[in-house]
Amino acid sequence: MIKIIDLEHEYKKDNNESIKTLNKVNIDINKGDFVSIIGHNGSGKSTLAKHLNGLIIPQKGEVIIDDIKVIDDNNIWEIRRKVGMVFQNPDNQFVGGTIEEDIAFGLENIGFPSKDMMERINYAAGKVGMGDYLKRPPHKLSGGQKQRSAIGSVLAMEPDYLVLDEPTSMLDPKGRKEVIEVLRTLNKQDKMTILLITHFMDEVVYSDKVIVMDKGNIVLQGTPKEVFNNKKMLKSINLELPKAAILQEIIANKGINFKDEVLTKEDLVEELWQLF
Amino acid sequence: MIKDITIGQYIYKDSLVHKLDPRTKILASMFFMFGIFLINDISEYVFVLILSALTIFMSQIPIMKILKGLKPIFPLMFLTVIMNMFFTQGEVIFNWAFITITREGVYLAGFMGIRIFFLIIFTSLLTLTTSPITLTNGIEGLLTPLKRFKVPAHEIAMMMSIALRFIPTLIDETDKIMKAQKARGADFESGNIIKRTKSLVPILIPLFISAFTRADELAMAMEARGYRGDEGRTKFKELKYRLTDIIIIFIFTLILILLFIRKIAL
Amino acid sequence: MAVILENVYYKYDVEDNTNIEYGIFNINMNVEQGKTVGIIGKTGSGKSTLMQHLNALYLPQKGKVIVGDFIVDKKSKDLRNLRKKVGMVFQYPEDQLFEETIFNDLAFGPKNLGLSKEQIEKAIRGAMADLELDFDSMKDRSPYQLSGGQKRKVAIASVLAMNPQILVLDEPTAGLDPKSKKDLLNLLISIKNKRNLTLFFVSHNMDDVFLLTEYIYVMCDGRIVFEGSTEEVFKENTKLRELDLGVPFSVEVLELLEKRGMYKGPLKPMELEELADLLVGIIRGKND
Repeated sequence: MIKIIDLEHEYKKDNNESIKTLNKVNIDINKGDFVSIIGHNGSGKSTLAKHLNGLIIPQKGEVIIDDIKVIDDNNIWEIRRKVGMVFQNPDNQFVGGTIEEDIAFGLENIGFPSKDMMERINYAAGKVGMGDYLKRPPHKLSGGQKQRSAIGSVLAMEPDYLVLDEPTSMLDPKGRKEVIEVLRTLNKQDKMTILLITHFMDEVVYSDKVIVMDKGNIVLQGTPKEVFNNKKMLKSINLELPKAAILQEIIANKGINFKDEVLTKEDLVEELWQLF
Repeated sequence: MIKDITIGQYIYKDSLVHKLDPRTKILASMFFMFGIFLINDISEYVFVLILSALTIFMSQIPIMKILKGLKPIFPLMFLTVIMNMFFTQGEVIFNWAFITITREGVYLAGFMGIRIFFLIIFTSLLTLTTSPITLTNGIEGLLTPLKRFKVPAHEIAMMMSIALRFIPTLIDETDKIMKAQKARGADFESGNIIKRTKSLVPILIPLFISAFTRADELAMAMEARGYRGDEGRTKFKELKYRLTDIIIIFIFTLILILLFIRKIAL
Repeated sequence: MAVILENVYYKYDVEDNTNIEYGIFNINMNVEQGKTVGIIGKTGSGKSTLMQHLNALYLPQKGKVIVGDFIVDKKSKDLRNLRKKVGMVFQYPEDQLFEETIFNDLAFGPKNLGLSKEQIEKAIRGAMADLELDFDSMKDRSPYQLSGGQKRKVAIASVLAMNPQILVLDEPTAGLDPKSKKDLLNLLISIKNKRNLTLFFVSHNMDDVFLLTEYIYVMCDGRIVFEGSTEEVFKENTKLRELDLGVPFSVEVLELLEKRGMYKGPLKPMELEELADLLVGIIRGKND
């Protein structure tokens, strides 16, 4: 389990003015959960993510991964094996010249035996549906394929947690869908714990828990339905609701109320069916 | 045009050349390069041509792909040829105003042109048939004995592999920025040298900035995946000399030695 | 300014292990002055190559591109006059910013066109105002210190400062957060109207395409596979899916309703307000 207790972070700008990017953040993430963190650029969500595998060491407060506290450089390697991380730009995290080399890079780093590498690479690439592309160089892959293979590269190292920092923000709708589907399957079939950081509302509807951040604070936390129920709060921090939820609101204004919050078009049609 | 550069590109084929140990390929290429600077006889160049053709054929890389890689190097080749042609002392065969061409100059120019041609062909072939990581594994392997003398073999190899990996990415990016500035009316083609150099600023600055961002993000991604230098690292593809490698190195060494002897003997 | 493409053909010299031909083949288009057209197609279908023909970043190997009274074919020269007319906003246009101040960056285009100092400043003021960037407080700032959304606006302003009559937008909102995205789209619509531009809009987001365009060209493998008014094109939901493209949200909802037998009628794209009315109508109609 990941425990974040009273985490604070601030940085100094050139003019010595300090800016608080995280303010008393408390989060619990259970094994097997799919947790989403949503917020605008500058809400502190990426800073939070970087705390989870020791890319940033806590200034104040604690980050505890399975009873190991992230304190200093001495234990971050242990932490980085537990927490795998995928970043935003698909090009800038592709180290190898081909997919198999890229997956191998992480394995080489952790001293994985050479003779077993190919088997592990095949396994990881298969998990993200890239098994047929092992020899492809990055510039011959679509954005979605690159991000999936980045996920594969991390999976090969068998982490306990997978943290993804806006993995879809540079992808086209098709690529976005591919990546989200891979994540959902990993969570459901392999019970992988996933922490997805995003600014797309429609990506969080399938999570077990949604955390909404604004200006370094957690402003809402709960199941997707609980969170989307707070339409006023979401609007006040300028987050856009999923289209189905907006539609529900317009329909409610016309005097027709649904029983439950709708998040997806399927929910919406289901509610309409009930009234039909 | 900028997309035609083949150095740094890798084409996967299941060929004999691809399967060679990278150390063999690097050594053979180096011997080859020494070799072409040792020879200055047409018949020997024919031999080199046959050797190159044979290697290209065995590599299964389309010949056009390799020839296209030469295109961007033409200005350099041209310049070398011109320099040699006009500035070599010797028996004058053409003289007009301040232009003097000597017999020696023509020979030297021809040879230099041919040498650069082969040089590029062989380096292209090396990178076309060897994936960047394998290539750098090879370099690392060859440098490892020097670690004793504090040569950072692993770091050099890692830097090279990343540079090679990002060449296609940066070429695409250069192409895009160039087009964007052209669309804003920039002109890279006309004017004198100073004006042309100046016109590159709108390309170079965005390119540098993006390269720095990339470097920064890549460093973070590498660290997140547990990279901490050479320590405790295993290798995906362990290098192993096989019989073919030994034969190839033997052949190339022999050729080089023979050329040496001939050169000294003449 | 109208744009006409006649049998435009451009084939890339690519050698890989496949027999796929890359490029664009026999493209015909006729876009009247002031229209907004969408170009859709999956990644690699030739959209960008096609758009780059509009201001002669590529010269057609066969056929011609006619922009106003300027005709581009494979031998065209002196393209500055054309580039003045056609503004190109590439994907992630902020990557092209290079000057120390926003003013200088915006001046790059107009300067290349040989405008006078006064004309340049006027053009910059106009472009910045259109993108809701405050001239006085921002002109001396560095473009690199801005947020992602602001940088994007400056980059678009740098194209608008050349006062083009045709504007090509290639995924102008890619990578922005939803708020900046929505703001920018609205701005682009108002700029289009205010400047009476002919607009080409390339996007993967079908809801955005629906919102902005009145006519759509659908591309696949370098060819225009079908075209029509925005409404007509989005009715072809099966065809679009076959081409790996999506449909607007409203069409998706209507499809689901149709499956359940709750709706029989055209799968027409519409805005949320109109869709809500339709849904309310369905429920009320049934219950009455």
